[in-house]
Amino acid sequence: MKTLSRKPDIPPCEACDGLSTSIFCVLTKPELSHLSENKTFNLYKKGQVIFYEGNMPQGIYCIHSGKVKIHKMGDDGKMQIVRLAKKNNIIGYRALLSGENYNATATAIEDTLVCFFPKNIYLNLLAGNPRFSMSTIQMLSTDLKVAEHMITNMAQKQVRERMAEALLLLKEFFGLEEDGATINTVLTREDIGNLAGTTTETSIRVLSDFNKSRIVKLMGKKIRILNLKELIKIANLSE
Amino acid sequence: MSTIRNNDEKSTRKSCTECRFHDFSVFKNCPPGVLEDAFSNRSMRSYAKGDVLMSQGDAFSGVYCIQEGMVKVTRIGNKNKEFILWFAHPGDIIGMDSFMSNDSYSFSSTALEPVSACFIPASDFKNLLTRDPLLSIGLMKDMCDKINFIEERITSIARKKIKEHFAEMLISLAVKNKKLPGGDIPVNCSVKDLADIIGTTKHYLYKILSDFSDKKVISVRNRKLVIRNMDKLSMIAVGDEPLV
Repeated sequence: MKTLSRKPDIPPCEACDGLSTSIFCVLTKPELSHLSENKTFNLYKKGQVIFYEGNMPQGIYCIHSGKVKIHKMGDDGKMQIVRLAKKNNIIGYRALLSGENYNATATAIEDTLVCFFPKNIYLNLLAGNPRFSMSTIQMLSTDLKVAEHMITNMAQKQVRERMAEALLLLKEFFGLEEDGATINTVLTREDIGNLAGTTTETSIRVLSDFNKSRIVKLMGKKIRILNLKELIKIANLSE
Repeated sequence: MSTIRNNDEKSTRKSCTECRFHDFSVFKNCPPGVLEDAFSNRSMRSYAKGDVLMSQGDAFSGVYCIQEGMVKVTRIGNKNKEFILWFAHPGDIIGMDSFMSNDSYSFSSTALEPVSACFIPASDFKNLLTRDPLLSIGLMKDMCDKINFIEERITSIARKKIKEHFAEMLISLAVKNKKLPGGDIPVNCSVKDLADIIGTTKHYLYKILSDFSDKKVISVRNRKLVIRNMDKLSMIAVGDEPLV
């Protein structure tokens, strides 16, 4: 994880290295430069909130670098992570589409650079470019599947299975470091618990249990996967 | 598995604009005539209780607008156990969100009562979608609502007591049902289905049900569940345990 001390320069959208994998790749050159002219960008330090649940959306955010967790507050004040986002992901667009306030909070889990596009720019693009609205629908469709998968797990799986699956999700989503085994993110035990839908205490207990049986190796906040096969077995993956 | 009865009642069907759900559906912004024109191959289908409209993994063949009856939308989860994602009531449309994956439905849906649904074939639906940007906005809104609903449920299932989440779901299940004389609200759902809503066993569900009926929130008559006190049920749902 890089710690950024000052705001670096961000390329215009046309020249962004992530363009080909973002939803903006279907836009035409003039549309892209229009988008670029109207964007602002910001550095969010680790732990800083990008938008709050309940606030009115003013636009959409595209993550240029870094990682973000999207979480909701439960009735007891506990947090549930419903989604993770990384480079080239768009966040905060659903509230705009449905015309409601944000239904979740987005927080940077490491120093994150984010481009911001105002509401009307995005909505105009949607109305004007059918290919762009298709790719937005595609994005929604993926989100929906992720949510459906998550709730089925949450309801049917035991804590141990969910914790194993949370680790696999982190591995899948954030990738591994150069050693090919360490998950490329530093989430707190609390965050991993919030992702698996359990308390911090249980999260710590299950992780140290995995550590003891040499499935993972805990190195401070970093987690190295020692026995992937076993982890997959515990997670009881159906798909 | 699904048995289709009275298929293709093309002659007697109403036009989409005249449909009583038109003004509330994702198609509400489409000008008159457009829908009838685009959905020329639509057909009315009837299903008996227990019939399957589509199974998880089936190739995407089209969308279903529910006209009568209630449908459960489920997903096969851990150890092939069924989990209920949501309930479709008349006016709801099932399957729209599957068209993008292009290959298959990511869920199953089964009739809980006698159901009639207007079936719109995939090609008709896709044609209109590519022609009419307003429809895609409507579709996006519908998908957003579904994701919000499910994320809300994730938070609730992970962070609330099972009892509270069950109360919440019972309300969403019954909220559109007509009241019986006397003010009770019927819930047309088998015990297995109720257990599948919260991913628990029948045994555990019976515990919750008997707790609820001790509190006179629900009662079970002739194996039919009715909600007797909606206020108390809402209190349970928000974690405000009412006194017996």
